Amino acid sequence: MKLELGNFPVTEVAFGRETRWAESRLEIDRAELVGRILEDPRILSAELHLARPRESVRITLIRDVIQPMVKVSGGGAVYPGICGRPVETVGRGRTHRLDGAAVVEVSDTPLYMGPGMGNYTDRAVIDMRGNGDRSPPFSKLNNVCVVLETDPTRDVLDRNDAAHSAALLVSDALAETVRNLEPPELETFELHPTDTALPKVAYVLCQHSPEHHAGSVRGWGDHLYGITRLHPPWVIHPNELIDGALSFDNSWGFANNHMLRELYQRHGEDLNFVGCIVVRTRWSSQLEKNVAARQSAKTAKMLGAEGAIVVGMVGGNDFMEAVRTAQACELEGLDTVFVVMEDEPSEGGPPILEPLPEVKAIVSVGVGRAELSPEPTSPVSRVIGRRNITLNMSTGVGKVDAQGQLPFYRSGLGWSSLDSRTSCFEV
Amino acid sequence: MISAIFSLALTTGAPRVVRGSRIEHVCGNPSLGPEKDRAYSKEIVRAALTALTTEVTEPTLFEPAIP
Repeated sequence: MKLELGNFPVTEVAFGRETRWAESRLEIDRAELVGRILEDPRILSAELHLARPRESVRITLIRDVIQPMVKVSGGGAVYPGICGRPVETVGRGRTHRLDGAAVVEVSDTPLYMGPGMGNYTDRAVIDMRGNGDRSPPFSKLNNVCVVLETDPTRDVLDRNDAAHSAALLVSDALAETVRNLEPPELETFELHPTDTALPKVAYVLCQHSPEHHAGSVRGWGDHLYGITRLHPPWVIHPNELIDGALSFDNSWGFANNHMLRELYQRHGEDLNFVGCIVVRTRWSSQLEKNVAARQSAKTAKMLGAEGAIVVGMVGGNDFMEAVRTAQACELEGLDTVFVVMEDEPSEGGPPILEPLPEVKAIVSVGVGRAELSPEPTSPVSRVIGRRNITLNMSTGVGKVDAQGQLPFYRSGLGWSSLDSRTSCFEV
Repeated sequence: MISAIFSLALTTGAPRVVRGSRIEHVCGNPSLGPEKDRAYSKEIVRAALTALTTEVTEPTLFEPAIP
């Protein structure tokens, strides 16, 4: 599978008379796009707002940050399988993308009705002023915010489909501007045959399934080709991830995954990148967790892996199969690194929920609770989304005005260069 | 402790652990129908009571009898 990525930089974004890209400037026909969104009767209201780097703006009620891109050739559509999009395998041919712009889906539509985090519609905030050298990447993007209200009388799955379809409509429209243009930069991604002496490494991603929280196998959450339910370990080519096969919450993060890019860069140099495996977490019995872990390790072994990077940015229940996957890989003879977040030290327990003896190479991305070392951030001039938000996202208490001073830099799109997905926690 | 994910209970040192059903329904199984669900629940509780009166020297898993 060979994928060419044509990158078109975006350094300026503005509303204009037509949607087009020219020399790093992206212009957007606001009325036309809003009109198209409103053709969907499930959408009660829609607005587009721009948030540029360094502006005094906070964006709230964030449901996703989307990398605008389009498949120019090779079959299928980016973000396959979601919202009725084709399910054809992606990761081949050529994809054109806008580098430096993103579409932010803003809405108080809940993910699902029921226990768990689904009802917290204000899980994430982007402060476009950034946070010095700890700025998450979203504050450096030209963000096109699609602010939506979905019909509350509709089924929650329908509402989610409507909201995300609207955001993808805008993302597609922006990416279409560069479909037929010659990219200033072209990258090629291909896992070419390498020296067999190089160590073979598999990248194992642990992704939460919303199946139990949502009470539905079609619950809204981490989508892999549109599928969110629990499934056995799934072999994925890294190109598929670049084309958005895995998306949710921070689709931009999956499509711009630094870990993946680095593995690719080093393929043929000091390692042999054999592929990716997506492990679904939150199986609800011990048996299933054990099987998921063992089979993931077996899958890695069948790919020829001698080493594995297991990224488990999940906690609690989900954590169990993540750490067990790392353990199972070690037991299969793979040198394994487990990338994970730590539990809060004040709880008095071990740094991770269930330390297993075989899992001895651990990279911590930190506790990710900015409120533990609070540095207040000053008020902003403008809020895109809702001003009244929940400060403590884990407990759901503490309403604040997102326009005012916040006791810490609140992000919630848990970004780190090691992360394969968002976590609920800020890093 | 009655737990569906009993492995965690054992590795974190709970002395007496009873195997539960599933996370969604730890002390029974509604898909068996009300009578069999109740019979299964009774066995789980029976195992818990047995565990409480059993001397243990390390984290020990107790299995409910098949109803």
